[in-house]
Amino acid sequence: MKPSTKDGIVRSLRNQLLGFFRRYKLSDQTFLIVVAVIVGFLGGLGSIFFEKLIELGQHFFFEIVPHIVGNPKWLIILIPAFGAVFLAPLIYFFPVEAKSDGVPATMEAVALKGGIIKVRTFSTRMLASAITLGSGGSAGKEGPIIQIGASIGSAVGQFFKVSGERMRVLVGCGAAAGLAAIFNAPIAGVLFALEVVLGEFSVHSFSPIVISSVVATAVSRAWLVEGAALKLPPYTLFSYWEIGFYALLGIAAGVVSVSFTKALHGVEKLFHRHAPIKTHWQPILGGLVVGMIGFFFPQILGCAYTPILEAIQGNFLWNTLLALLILKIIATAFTLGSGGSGGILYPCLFMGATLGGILGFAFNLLAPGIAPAAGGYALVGMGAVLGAAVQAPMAAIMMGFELTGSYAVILPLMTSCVLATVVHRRLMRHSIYTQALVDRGIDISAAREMGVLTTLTVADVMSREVPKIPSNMPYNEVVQLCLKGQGNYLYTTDEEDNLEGVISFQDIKEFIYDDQLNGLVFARDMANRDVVYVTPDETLASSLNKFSYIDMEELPVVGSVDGFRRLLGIITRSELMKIYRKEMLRRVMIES
Amino acid sequence: MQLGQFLDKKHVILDIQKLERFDCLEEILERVATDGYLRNKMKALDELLEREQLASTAIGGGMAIPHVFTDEARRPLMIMARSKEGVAFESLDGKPVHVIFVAMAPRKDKDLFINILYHLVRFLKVKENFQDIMEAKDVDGVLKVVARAKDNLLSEKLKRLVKDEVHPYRVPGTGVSG
Repeated sequence: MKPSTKDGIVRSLRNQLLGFFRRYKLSDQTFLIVVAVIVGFLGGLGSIFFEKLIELGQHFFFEIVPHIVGNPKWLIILIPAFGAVFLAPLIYFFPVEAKSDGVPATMEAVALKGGIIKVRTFSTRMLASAITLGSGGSAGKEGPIIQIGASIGSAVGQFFKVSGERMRVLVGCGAAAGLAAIFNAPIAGVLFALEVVLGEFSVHSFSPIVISSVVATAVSRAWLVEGAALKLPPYTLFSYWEIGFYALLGIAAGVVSVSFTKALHGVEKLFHRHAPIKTHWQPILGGLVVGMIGFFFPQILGCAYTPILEAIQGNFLWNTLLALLILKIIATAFTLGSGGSGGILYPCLFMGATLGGILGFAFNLLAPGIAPAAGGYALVGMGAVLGAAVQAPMAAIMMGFELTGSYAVILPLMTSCVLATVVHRRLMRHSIYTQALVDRGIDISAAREMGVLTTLTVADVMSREVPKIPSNMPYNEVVQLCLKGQGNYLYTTDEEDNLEGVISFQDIKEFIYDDQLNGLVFARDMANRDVVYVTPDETLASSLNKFSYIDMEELPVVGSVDGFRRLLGIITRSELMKIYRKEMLRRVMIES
Repeated sequence: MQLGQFLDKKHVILDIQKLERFDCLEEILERVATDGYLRNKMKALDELLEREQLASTAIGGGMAIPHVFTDEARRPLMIMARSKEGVAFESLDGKPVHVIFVAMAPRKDKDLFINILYHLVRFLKVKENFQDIMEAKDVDGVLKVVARAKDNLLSEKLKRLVKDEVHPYRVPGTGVSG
C-alpha cells in the first residue's frame, strides 16, 4: 500500500521532533515531561472545545428547537428523547465508543491494552456526550472529558511510538488534564488519574501527570469564560462536635453511593435484557423517562452546576431536596443505563449536595447550637458520595478542598469521604466504575498485579557478575570471548570501569568465522553506545517495562555517580520473572 | 546495496603526495570536497587521526583502511587515495602502502559500517582488484574496479533496519535507545 501524504507528514514531523529530543539527549523522564506538557496543552484545548460543544447542544435543544415549535410547556418532556434520536446513528456505527461512561473504558485500556485508545474515541465520545448533555440528559461532562483527555494522551503516545508503562502514564496525563481543566481543580485531576485511572501511586508517573494537569488548568483558565467551572462558597466549621455529624453524613453518603451504583447497573441490565427495541434506539426510552422527571423538576436535567449551588445555599426545602436526590438517581440511571453518553461524577456531586442539604437540615433541627447551617453538609456530602462511588477518597477530598478553597473543610471532608468509601466497600465489592467492568467480565484488580513489581528494586535481584571487556580489545579477541562466553552480550568499559557500550552476539555472528576485520576493528567500534540500562534503585516494574520495548534478554545495571555510568551488574529477564512469580505466590498465601 | 555506492566520484585521488601516514591523511581530506557528507571536515580529520594513533589501520599487502565512527559524517562514505611511491604507514608487514581507503560513518550506521569495512577488506585482498586499481588510468577506471564488488552489503537484519526507518527506542538485538 502506498503511504498517503498525510502519513508522510506525520512521519516527518515525528522524525523532526524525535531528532530534536535526541540531539539534546533527553532522558526518559525528561522526554516524558516534555510530552506531558503537550498532552496537558491539548487536553486543556480539548476541554474548552468540549465545553463549547455542549453549550452549542444546549442552545440547539433548549432555544432553537422550542422556538421553532412555539415554546409549549410540555416540550421539555420530549427534548431528551429528541436528543437521543441523534445519538442513534453514533451508537449504531460505534457501539463501543459512544455508549455509557468513558472512565471504565479508559481504566480497561490502561490495565489491559497497554494504554492504546483508538483515535476515533475522541470525536465519537465528544459528539455523543455533547448530544446527551446538550439535550438535558442527566449525566456529567467530567466522565467524557476524562476519556477524551485520555484518548488525546494515548494519541500523542502513539504518535511518538512510546510503549508500555510510558503509554499508560501519558493516558493518565490526558485524563488528569481533562478533569483538571474542566473542574479547574489540578490536584484532584492528578489524584483521580493516579487513584482511578492508573490504579497506583508511583513517583515515575507522578511528575508528568502533575505537569500535564497544571498546563491543562492554565490553558482552560486562560480561555474559558470565568464561572464555567464549579466554584463553591468558602466553608466554615462551626464546632468540632460537628465532626460527629459529618461521620453520620459519611455513612449516609456510602448508602446513597451504593444505591446509585445498583440503580445504574440495574437499569443497564434491564435495558440490555428486556428492552423491546434495538440498542441504538434505547436512549430514546431513557430520554422519555428523564423528560418526564424534568417536567416537574427541571433541576435534574443536564449538567448545570446551579442546582448544586442552590442546595448549598439552602434555597431548597428538605422535601424538595429529598425528591431531587431520589429523582436524580433515577434520571441518571435511565440516561446512562439506556445508552446515553456521559459521566457519573457530576450526578454524584448533585446527590451528595442534596443528601448533605437534607441531613444538614435535620442536624440543625436536632442541635442548632452545634450545626447552625446546612450548607457545609451539602458541600462535604458532594465529596463523600463521589469518593465512595468511584472508591477514590483522596481525589474526592482534594476536589472538595480545591473547589471551596478553604482549608477548614479538610477535617469534615476526610471524615465523611473515608467513612463513605468504607461503607460503600462494606456493602458492595466494586466501585461504580469497576462494577461496570465486572459486568463485562473484567477484573481490574487482577490486571493491576503488576503492582507487585513496583515494590521490589533492581538491587534485590541483580547479578554482580558482568562479562565486561576493555573498549580497546581487538576484534579477534572479542569474537573468541563471544564464542566461549555464556551470555549473548559483552559490555565494554573504559579504564575506570564506566559502561561505554554493549556488544550483542547477534550483531557480529555474520563475520564470526572470518578474521578479515582483525586489526581494523576494536570492541568499541562494535559496541552500541546508546545502551538502555537500569539503576539499582529502579523498581522491577520499570525494568520489566524497559525489557518490553527492547529485544534484550538482559540489561546492564548502572550506578550513576557524577555523570559517570559505573557498571555494577546485570539483570536478566528470566530472573525477573522468577522473582515475580515467587512474590505473587507469597502474597496469595498471606491473603488466604 | 554495494560497496561502490559509498565511493563518490569526487572522492578519488590518484596521486597522493605526502609520504607519512598522518600527513597523508591530512592531504586526503584537504583535497576532496566533502559537502553533503561531512559536517565539519577538520573535526572529522581529528577523529580519524585519533583512531589512527590507537593502532595503524594498514592491513598489509600495500593497503590501509583508515576509518572512524564520527557523528561529523552525515552518512557512510569512502575516500580512495593512491600513492605510486608508497606511504609509510607502520603496517604489520612493514611494507609501504599504495592504496588507501578512508571510511567514515555516523554512529547510528554502525552495523552497515562494519559491513562496509568487512567487504572492503575482502575486496582489496583479491590480488587482481588491487593491481587494477594501481593501474587504473583515471577516476572512472578506479570506479569501474570498485564496481566489481557485487556482494550485497545488507544482511537481512540491516535490510529491515534501513527499510523501516529505525525506531529510536527499539532496535532489534542491540538495545539501542534514542
